[in-house]
Amino acid sequence: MTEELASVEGAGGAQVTSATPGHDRPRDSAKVGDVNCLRVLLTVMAIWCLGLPGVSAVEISRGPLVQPTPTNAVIQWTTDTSAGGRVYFGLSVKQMDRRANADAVGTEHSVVLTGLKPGTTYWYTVGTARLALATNSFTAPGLSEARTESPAARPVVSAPVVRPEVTKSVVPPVAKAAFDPSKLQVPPARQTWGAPRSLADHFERHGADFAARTADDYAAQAWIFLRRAKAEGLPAKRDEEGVLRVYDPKTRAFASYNRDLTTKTYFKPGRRDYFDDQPGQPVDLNKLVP
Amino acid sequence: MPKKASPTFVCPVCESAVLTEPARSAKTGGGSFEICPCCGFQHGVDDDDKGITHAQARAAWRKAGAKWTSKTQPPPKGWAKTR
Ligand SMILES: [Zn+2]
Repeated sequence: MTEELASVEGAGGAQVTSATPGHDRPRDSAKVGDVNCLRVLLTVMAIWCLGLPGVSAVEISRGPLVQPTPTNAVIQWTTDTSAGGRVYFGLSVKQMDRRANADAVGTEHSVVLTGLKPGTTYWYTVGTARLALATNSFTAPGLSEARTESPAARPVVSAPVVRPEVTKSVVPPVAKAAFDPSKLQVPPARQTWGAPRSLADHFERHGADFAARTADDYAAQAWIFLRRAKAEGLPAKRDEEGVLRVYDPKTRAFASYNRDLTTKTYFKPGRRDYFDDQPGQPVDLNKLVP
Repeated sequence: MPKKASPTFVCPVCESAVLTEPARSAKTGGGSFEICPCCGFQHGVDDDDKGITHAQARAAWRKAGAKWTSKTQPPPKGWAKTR
């Protein structure tokens, strides 16, 4: 794949940055479908690149974010330098045969895909007229899902579209009795950490943020943090997939939990507005955490 | 009943199919918070907090020898052959 991409680059002189779940399959599964997929993909990229020498690199600095409705989707992303915006999309990686363009050149890109079928999964590649920057998929909600008033399922009216609304600070802190973690019975890490195999990697990277002595200690602190957040009314939000995010503005501790409340990660972000920029709606932890 | 192999997703940084979920949710736009066991990039943290682009991370990882980074999660069979 790398070599073939390189040949595409050579033909067009443009840099193709692949960031693709569907494009780069495991190398040992070179089946016919994959070969066809590669061919179509390379054709798309070749069309993108042909005859356009000396293009300077453009990179995605944020996104792409997708806001689908049953029949439309808005795809938004940010590039590090000013560029046009284009999206190729279709029913599979092999079949991204439709395209849509952004209205203006800039660093903030917003492209509306229309004529989608409800409940259907689409693959898309965002980029400029010259470069493919990222590929991913989304599913347009079914009509019944759309009636449930989810903010992301509201019909998109027309471009230009503003960036998704970011929920600012949430449940206001409520004065309560001091939280006492010593009364808690913390379950073992294999029960509280969502992907136990990954715990050591998270501990190695973030354990020092909390002066954790061991991976188990780190996992226990993440578990306790959610109980403290509930007791102290710390800001929390939950996204459409049930992923929970909790933040303590005082200590700058941030944690994310799966739908079953097992921990995804626990760390201290460097950016003050990191939590505000996360997806999700405010949630009352008293209703969520036993 | 035979157990289904768990699906893997391609890391947009190192391009290895080793992630247990998409690096970024197509539905919510949120990062997975998964640390790629191959290149070590934490999706939703290294990008959204530290502002490192995939291309920058990829270049740095390759420059450092494109090694498997997780000390506790072993690489899948045949991983070394693909590098
Ligand atoms: Zn990776």
